[in-house]
Amino acid sequence: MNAWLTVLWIFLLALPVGWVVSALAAGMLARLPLDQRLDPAARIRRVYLVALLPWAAPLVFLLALAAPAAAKPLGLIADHCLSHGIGHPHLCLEHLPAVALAHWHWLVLLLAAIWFGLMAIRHTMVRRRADSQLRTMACLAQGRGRLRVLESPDCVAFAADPGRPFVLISRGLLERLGPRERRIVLAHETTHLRHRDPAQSRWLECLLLAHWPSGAARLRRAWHQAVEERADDSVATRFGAEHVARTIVEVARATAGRDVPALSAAGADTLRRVERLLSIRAPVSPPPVYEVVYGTALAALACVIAGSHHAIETLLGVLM
Amino acid sequence: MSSFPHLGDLEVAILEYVWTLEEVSAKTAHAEIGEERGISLNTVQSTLERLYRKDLLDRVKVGHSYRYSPRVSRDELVAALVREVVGRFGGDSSAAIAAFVDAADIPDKQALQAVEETLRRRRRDRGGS
Repeated sequence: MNAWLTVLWIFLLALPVGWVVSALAAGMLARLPLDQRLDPAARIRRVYLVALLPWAAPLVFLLALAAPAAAKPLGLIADHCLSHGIGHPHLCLEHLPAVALAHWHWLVLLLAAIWFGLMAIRHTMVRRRADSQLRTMACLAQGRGRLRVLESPDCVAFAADPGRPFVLISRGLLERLGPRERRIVLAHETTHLRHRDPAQSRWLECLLLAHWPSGAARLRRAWHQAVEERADDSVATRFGAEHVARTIVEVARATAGRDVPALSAAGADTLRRVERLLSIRAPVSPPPVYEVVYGTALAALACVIAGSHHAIETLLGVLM
Repeated sequence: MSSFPHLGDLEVAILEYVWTLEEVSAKTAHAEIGEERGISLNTVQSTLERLYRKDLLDRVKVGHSYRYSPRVSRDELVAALVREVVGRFGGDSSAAIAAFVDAADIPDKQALQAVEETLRRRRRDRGGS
């Protein structure tokens, strides 16, 4: 029984170790600026891939560690376990290691699990509170369909999805805009709903739970920028880029004139959106090089870990 | 209002009703809202009680029952809600909203004027050509 627990501990240890390494890597990748000439959809994809890294890499670590153990019974690799000393930790399901675990060994894993659990609980509570407020806002606004008008002098317009998606626009903003500008704002927000951006934002936030806060903030910002630009592009094809740019400036002016709170570290850069719309460059749709490199890097990592099976066992022996 | 309390669907409906009449009892609120929704007088009473505890309603005892009146106006409540929701956007990771323009990222006046000048020039150029 103890030997099985030791094997379990070793395999579970792969998760926090893989997480630390991949979160550092994701933090570095998040520092690399995304090429703004790229198609927003391609940028969104890249943000997701980086966001996914601290989840995917620990699993890769685990599978790569388990691969030799699974390959031995199938005869795919030679059984070398008996050449080890008795106290050497084996990543093997046949020759279980005779290494006694101390309490602190389990404490390490327990603390990691508690920390992650607390983060997840905090995230869920904050999300529920935010959803509750959005639902209240939807109730207080006029209209029961997807479009809600809020009787407020503030200038706000947004798409949200606290379970049931809707677009909310304030009376204050409606009064500041002309008919064409209103249509642009509504079309822009409806595009967010069509792409399910508010719902996608939830998934992104779940993925970002496993990131360092600074890396998460950078990825969030890059994602918001790309999502806004994708909606801008979509509306620009119908109304013209200049009209959309003018509307953004008009809404920015209206919002700047009011005491609307501004805490955002993740919203989209308004000026950059306008400048992008006014530039004549068409966005570049890149070949999937980034995605291929990403997949190859993960596969290479798996191969290196599986290939370093013996070295990892030796390292574990020293650490334990 | 410093921070916005959580409000359910029924609470919002009752608040809307109180705002229109200025003073209501549980019975009148039930007759107007409760019967239509198929909920009991007790539910309406406890909802009014919750709104009172959330500092959104005032109440005075008249005979054996309470009469409720709004402590905050609709405008105050909406303003607090906008502050919370729009203020959270981006700053807090969990707000699932995509704002047309994020208040935090509005360029300064000079930058806005420069962009507007560019837009005007482009329009003039197009008109002239």
